[in-house]
Amino acid sequence: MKVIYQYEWKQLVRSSAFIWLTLLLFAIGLYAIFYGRNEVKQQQFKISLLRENIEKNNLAMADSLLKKDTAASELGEFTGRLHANNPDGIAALSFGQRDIHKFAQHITNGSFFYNKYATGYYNKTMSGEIVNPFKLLAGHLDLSFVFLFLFPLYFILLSYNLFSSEQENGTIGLLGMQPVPVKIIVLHKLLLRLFIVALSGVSLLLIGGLVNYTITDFRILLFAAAFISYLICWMGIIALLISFKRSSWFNALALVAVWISFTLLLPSILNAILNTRYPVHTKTELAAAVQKANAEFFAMDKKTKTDSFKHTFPFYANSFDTIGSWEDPKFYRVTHTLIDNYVLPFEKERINLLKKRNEFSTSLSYFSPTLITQNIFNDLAGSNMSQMLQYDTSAWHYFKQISRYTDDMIFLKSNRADSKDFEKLPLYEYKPVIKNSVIVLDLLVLVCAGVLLLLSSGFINNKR
Amino acid sequence: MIRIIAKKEIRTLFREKIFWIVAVVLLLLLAASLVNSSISVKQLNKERTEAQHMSREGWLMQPPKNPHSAAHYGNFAFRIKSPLSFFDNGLDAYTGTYLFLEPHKQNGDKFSQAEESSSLLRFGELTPAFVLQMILPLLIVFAGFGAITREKEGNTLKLLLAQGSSIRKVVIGKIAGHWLAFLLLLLPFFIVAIFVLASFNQQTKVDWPRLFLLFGTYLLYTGVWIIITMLVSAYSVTSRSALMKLLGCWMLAVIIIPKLSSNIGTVIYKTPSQFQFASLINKDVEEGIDGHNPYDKRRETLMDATLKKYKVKKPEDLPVNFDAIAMIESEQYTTEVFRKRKEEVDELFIKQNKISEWACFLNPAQALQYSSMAICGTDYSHYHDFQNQAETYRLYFVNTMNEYMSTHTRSGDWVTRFGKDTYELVKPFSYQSAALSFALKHQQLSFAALLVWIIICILLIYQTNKIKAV
Repeated sequence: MKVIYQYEWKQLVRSSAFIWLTLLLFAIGLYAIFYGRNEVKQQQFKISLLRENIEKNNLAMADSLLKKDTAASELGEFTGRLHANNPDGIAALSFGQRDIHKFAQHITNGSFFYNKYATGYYNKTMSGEIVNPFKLLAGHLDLSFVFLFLFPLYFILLSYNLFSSEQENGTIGLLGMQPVPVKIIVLHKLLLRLFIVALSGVSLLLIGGLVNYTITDFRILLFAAAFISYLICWMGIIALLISFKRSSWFNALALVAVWISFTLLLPSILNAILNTRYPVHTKTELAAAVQKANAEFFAMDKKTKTDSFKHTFPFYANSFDTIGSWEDPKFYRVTHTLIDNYVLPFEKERINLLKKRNEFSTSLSYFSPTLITQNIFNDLAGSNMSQMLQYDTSAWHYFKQISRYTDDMIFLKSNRADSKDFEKLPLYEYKPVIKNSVIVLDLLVLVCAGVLLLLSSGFINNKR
Repeated sequence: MIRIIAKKEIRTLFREKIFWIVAVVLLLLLAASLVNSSISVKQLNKERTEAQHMSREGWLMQPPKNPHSAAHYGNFAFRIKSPLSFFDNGLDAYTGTYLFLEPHKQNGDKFSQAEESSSLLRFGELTPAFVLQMILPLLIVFAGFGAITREKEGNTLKLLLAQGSSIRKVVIGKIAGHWLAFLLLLLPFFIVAIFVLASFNQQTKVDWPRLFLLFGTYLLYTGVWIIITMLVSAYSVTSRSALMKLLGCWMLAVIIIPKLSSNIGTVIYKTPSQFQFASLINKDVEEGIDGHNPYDKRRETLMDATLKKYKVKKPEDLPVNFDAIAMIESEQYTTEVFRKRKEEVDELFIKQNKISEWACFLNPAQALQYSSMAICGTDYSHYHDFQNQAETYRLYFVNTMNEYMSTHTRSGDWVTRFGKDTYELVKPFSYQSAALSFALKHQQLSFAALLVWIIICILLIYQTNKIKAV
């Protein structure tokens, strides 16, 4: 066996195509690491700008509260809190859906849903980030893209003629005379290539880990495990096609066809199926609800508005008789709360539909090893759709925490707040939930698929 | 001779199993993409048209209000998808579906399809453009990589040359044969696509120039890939090496270069954050665009001018509502500020995108992608045009209400109410889709790049006589 490995290795390093291909892949991989790092740094920088501004306001408020107390309504209105989805080093390896969704929000008082869905560029951060749609269309060239798209192709190019070249060069007879069966020799040749491809990828991953200061992060190991499992799956596919003992060009064509099916065609077809099952409707009802609530609750007379508020929030019912005019903080809190309360069912419907859509999308991804691996990469990096949804909904919960805290002071404590109250303004740091059990299951699916395909190739070899 | 070679090539192609596999795969994909895409566009446009009507009805059905308060009810501007977006969805999945228009604020567009989609969307959407831009070149490669190398491997190229042909004629003949074969494959699809488009436009006419330009562009693109395939095949010694080279070209053209060029654009020209953008606007509104004309000073100047215009000394004596006049001025001023800052961001995006547009000269796939988006009305300039029209409408309807308030009430009067007749003064929003010349003007580089590619291909064909027969 040692001779096979030595011989194959020598053959490979003598091939200029192999050297050039490896160098090209490495160059693209290094660029991908640089690109991912740059994307993460840009988002971190944008978050830091907002954080600095909020902290500056908070410091000014803290200073002023040392001298005298203030209106509680001002705590949430002029200071607020940062709610960020901070990308870490692992996110640089798989940026996923992070560029599409917002990542830094200034949570203040007011109507959450009006700020989220109506007020855009002017003065709020809750409605979304500025993005170039053209860039979104092009997508990322991060390390996960290199692993998912280019490494299988590299593996294919190194392996498609493992058996056929022996047939075409007339050396198959010589191989047949060896004490080891030909299929075992081919399997070892394939294993050597798997080792080379995996080693190249893991080297890039380690460089990525070092550059992004995440080399000690446990998730790097899982990232490597996902990559190797993905390659095992591809090894099974290659072995299966080789076992049909067709010509080199047939193998190349067939393997490229499988590659394009898994990486491009199938995902686009699955996306079409997803859109048919769960169409992305225009959110007319939600948009109209925001508009209607904003117009109606501001125009509503004070008495009706107060009664409606007290009915919905009975714990504040005995704290005041009726709200005042525009200058009364209760006027705004009551109106904004009623707006949010009106829009909430529409928002819940949107979130539920998105969850269902996302669950269906995840189940569809089991049709392609590329999609399964991408899900693992994005999960580990906190960059997938379900984590974006978590971040989105956590903003509402954080807003509720802050507004409940200040509302208690506005309605129950005569709207006064001192420095201690300000210090206790709720803090919350968003951390994406990473479902390790799902990741392990996905890894098993990939490895099992690879092993099953390898066994099938052995079976076909025996038959032929 | 060329005609004979072309005829023979078509006959050979039609006899080969691989060509029929290619044909079936291509037609099935095109049919699936056409059905999927056209149903989706029809459904979305139906929803958006209904939503636009609902928004209008909501506007008119408001109870009697002070005109400025009525303006605060707001209006929606829904983006109706262009008829040809069923062919190429372009940026539509990544841009919002509507804008909420209201006084004092310029809102961003909301609910892009991408926001609601998983990472599946990032692999591409199943539209005819996706199939023709990404899959068709690969099928051309599969069908043609061995067209000339096999003649070399089987020693039949020498026979052809011995009969008085030249390598150039062989290459041209093969190109003609393959081009015609693919034309025969694509023709039924184009005819069906015309019917689909006609079914969209029952009220309006089919935009034939746009349609023919679109099909013509795709046929040229098909030609460019066939020429590249034949040239690589002619210059390669074996079919295997031709296939490897062509797969490399395909990979670079449809996957690597588009991503790389777009990524480089955003690395060089950094996009500001929402917070930075909003801070600049707030600062401009507070301090004035030039930094020396704060809000209070602007209001004071306006008051002086208004008093002078109506030849009175005190605001109470004005025959008009000064609050409303101040709001008109303020609306115009904030719009000016917003447009200035928005223009800066747009220019930045244009600079980012320009790198990809220049890459069209390196990559015909990108040249086609951008030309196709432009013709189908789904590129960045069309999106920008919609935003501009919506913002113009916002200023129009808000100031129509403010002007009415200024002439029908007096200063300090916020209680007099007006009803539907006043609301009807505002015409409904209707997006005027841009003309073809607009598309051509904004994608000059990519159209020019496609032409350059054709010229390069012709020159390269001319050079093929230098190729050796073995």
